[in-house]
Amino acid sequence: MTLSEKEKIAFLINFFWGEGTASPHTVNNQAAKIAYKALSEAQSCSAAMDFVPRPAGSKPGIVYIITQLVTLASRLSSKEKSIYYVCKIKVKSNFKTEITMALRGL
Amino acid sequence: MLKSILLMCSLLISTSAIASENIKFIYENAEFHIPANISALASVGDEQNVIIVKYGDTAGQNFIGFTDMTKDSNIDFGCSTKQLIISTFGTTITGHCNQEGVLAMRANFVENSHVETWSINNHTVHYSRNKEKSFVFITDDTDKVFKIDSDFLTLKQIKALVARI
Repeated sequence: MTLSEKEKIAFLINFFWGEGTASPHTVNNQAAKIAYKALSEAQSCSAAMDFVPRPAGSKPGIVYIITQLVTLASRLSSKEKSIYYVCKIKVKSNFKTEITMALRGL
Repeated sequence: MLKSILLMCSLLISTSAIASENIKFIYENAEFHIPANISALASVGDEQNVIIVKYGDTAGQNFIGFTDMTKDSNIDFGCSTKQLIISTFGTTITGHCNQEGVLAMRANFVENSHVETWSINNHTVHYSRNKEKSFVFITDDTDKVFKIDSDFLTLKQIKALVARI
């Protein structure tokens, strides 16, 4: 993962889970997988972010996941934040512990 | 390697812990009893004072998370966290809680979930289990709200965990 990708994914994680949750140097593949899982399981996120998760059954690879998250991070900064309200509740309240663990290599 | 492997100001391991199945765990002055065979303990130290207790070596699995939800500046529900939890697990929306927010919480923790609520030692415990995880929200007569989540504890183990809160 490049530094630029890590910066974008850290931005996305901090948007959903709160400022200070991630920094670029704590972003790793596991944290990216958790962020992708959280967003892809919340239907409200698909609608808010024009995000179409891969069909169930085909497990996405890490390169695909990183590409998706970087794209989503770019959309975040350009859209009205209130449309993410329900998506954020779902993502944050379900996966706070998992993203925290992943960012710390646990 | 972070505070990950054992950083804990408020963990009290009783003298009999090695011999017993559970150990006493004091989180923000509340007493919990958690399984003893811990493999890692992480104190994250953010505004929610997240503490993660980990069992086994599999990354991302077999954990118990403790979170103080009282202060959460990331999502505005229009009411206190305690009112939010009461509204989520109750039938009416109390305080000035944002209806959209409460409905999202209900969709998350009530619909399609096994839900139980019980009282113990002046605390109210709201339990929610979905297909992957258990969540527990604990309120008392103050505004304090704790959340506990785990991917492996059974309802019986959770009842034991909070039995002496």
